[in-house]
Amino acid sequence: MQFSNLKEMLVSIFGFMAIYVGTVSADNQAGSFSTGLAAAVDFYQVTCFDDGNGVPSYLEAQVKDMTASTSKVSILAYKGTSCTTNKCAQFSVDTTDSDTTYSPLVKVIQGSGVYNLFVMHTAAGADSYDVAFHCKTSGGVHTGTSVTSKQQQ
Amino acid sequence: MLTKQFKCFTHTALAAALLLGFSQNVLSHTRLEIPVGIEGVRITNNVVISHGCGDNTFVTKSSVVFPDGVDSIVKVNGTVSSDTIDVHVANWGNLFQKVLDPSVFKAEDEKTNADGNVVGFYVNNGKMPDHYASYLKFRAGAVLFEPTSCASSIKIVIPVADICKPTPISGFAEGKLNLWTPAVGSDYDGPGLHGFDSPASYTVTRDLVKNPLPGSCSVAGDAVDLVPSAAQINRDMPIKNKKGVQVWPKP
Amino acid sequence: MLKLPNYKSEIIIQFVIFFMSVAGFTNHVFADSAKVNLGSSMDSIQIYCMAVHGDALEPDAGFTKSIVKLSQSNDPARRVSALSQLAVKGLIDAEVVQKILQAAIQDSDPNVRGQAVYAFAQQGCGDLFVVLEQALQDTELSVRLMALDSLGVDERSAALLKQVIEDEDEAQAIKDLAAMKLEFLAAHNQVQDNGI
Repeated sequence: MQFSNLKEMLVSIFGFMAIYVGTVSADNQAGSFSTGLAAAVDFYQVTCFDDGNGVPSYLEAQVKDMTASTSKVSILAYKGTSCTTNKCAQFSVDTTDSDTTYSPLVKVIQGSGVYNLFVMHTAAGADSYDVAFHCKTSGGVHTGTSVTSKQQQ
Repeated sequence: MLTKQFKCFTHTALAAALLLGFSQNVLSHTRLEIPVGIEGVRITNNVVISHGCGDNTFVTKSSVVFPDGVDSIVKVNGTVSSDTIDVHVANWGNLFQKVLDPSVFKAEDEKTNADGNVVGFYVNNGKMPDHYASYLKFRAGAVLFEPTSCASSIKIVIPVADICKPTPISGFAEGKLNLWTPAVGSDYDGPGLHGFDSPASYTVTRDLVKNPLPGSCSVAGDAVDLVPSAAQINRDMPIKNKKGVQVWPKP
Repeated sequence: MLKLPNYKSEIIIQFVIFFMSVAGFTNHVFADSAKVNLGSSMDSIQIYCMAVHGDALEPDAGFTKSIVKLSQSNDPARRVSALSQLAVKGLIDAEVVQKILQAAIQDSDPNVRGQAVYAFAQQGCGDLFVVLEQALQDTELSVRLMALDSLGVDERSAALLKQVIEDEDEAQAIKDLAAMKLEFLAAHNQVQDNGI
């Protein structure tokens, strides 16, 4: 499942997404730091559930910085408080601009339920981004994934 | 002979009237095809438009709103509560997605809020005859109950407007549209219309095996209702076309 | 006292009336144009990008073609994508870069304009400060952020940064970035002074 930060890209892919504000869809998420503030955080919640393909084991995610500027975009994925066996939080940053590559893929293994996904940037700037994320079973099979946007800054 | 013919005609007319009235009562409300779902399961569902606005009318548009959970009214066991939906649902927001289907209504789109979450959808450019039914297909996402909540069910109230002839809000009347909306003080309450305070709803029941009620809850748990606020209904019920022009209600 | 025959007076009067109406109309048109141009402060700027010989990478024809196509898309996001990939000088011929950037800094979409400003700075095209100073007057936050982001570590940049920080009406994000860059500038100059 991919978040595309470019709502117009969603329009071209699906044909029915619209508006610059963007639609939160299960496989792509469009977003940008419209306030430009260095402290801006966009916050999403990803729900991992069994859609018939199996019980979710983990969420994997990575981000692509779509805007060439000094500021770099990063993500923090987090779930749970039992972090001994499996980490509860993972961080990934896209250090290269140019819209072609994603940051390193990170995985939070905390089963089914709701994961928190934060998108941040390293300095003030009007960055736009594309977050790719998938809920998968222990066997690596894509399973039920949905997302809601909780905060846009 | 004249008298007999008159009587025959009268009886026939009465029978027809009764039959028509009976038909309207049987299929009188716009409702969801699947009104009850289970926690953690995503399903495909339909808003079922059961009829038009009377003889020789056609439903040309329909507008549907899902509570956004931001300022929605939460009721617990029928009583308005100060809880937000997040107390009872772990993942509220953006749980509904329109499934593309131009078979009856040629235009459609989702409605989104400022965060990009889907808060409703509309269909437009249709011509559903009064005596037909139409299905508006959508996907209802997997709802997860907060483990600490005593909610055993969440009833999601879904306002729907089926429009035959677009008018301004002041022109809402029988024969022009059917309003299946909760009476919360919005411009779309429709007092006096036959669908008053009779909205559609989708109820999700808790998976008591995977997500049992906490020990402090009653045996049956709580029935929670989530109702869109008047402010949200006023904001999200209107239909704007893809160019952003409002086509219903007329300004 | 000069007296003109009546018919000449009529012609002159009509000409004067015509001239005044044209002047008034022109002013009206230009006034409207000024309003239209208020968002993009860079409409009148001409861009010149020179090829750099020696260490520059050879232009890539396939890449050039794809970037040109992207830059002409109806989708602003694709146009932004094209400009964000112009960060590396030399993969595209300077003339092509010049054409892309010239159109882009006048784009109606502020994200496109902003990315064009940054790409302009990365490509090292001429009159950078002229463009950046104009871009700092753009009505859109995203364009001004990019202009600020493109400033260097020289004295002129420092002066512009200070000016931005002291502007009471400027957005907080702009001031935050300007402050951060000034801090970096100070550290950079310190390093230079210490001869490291």
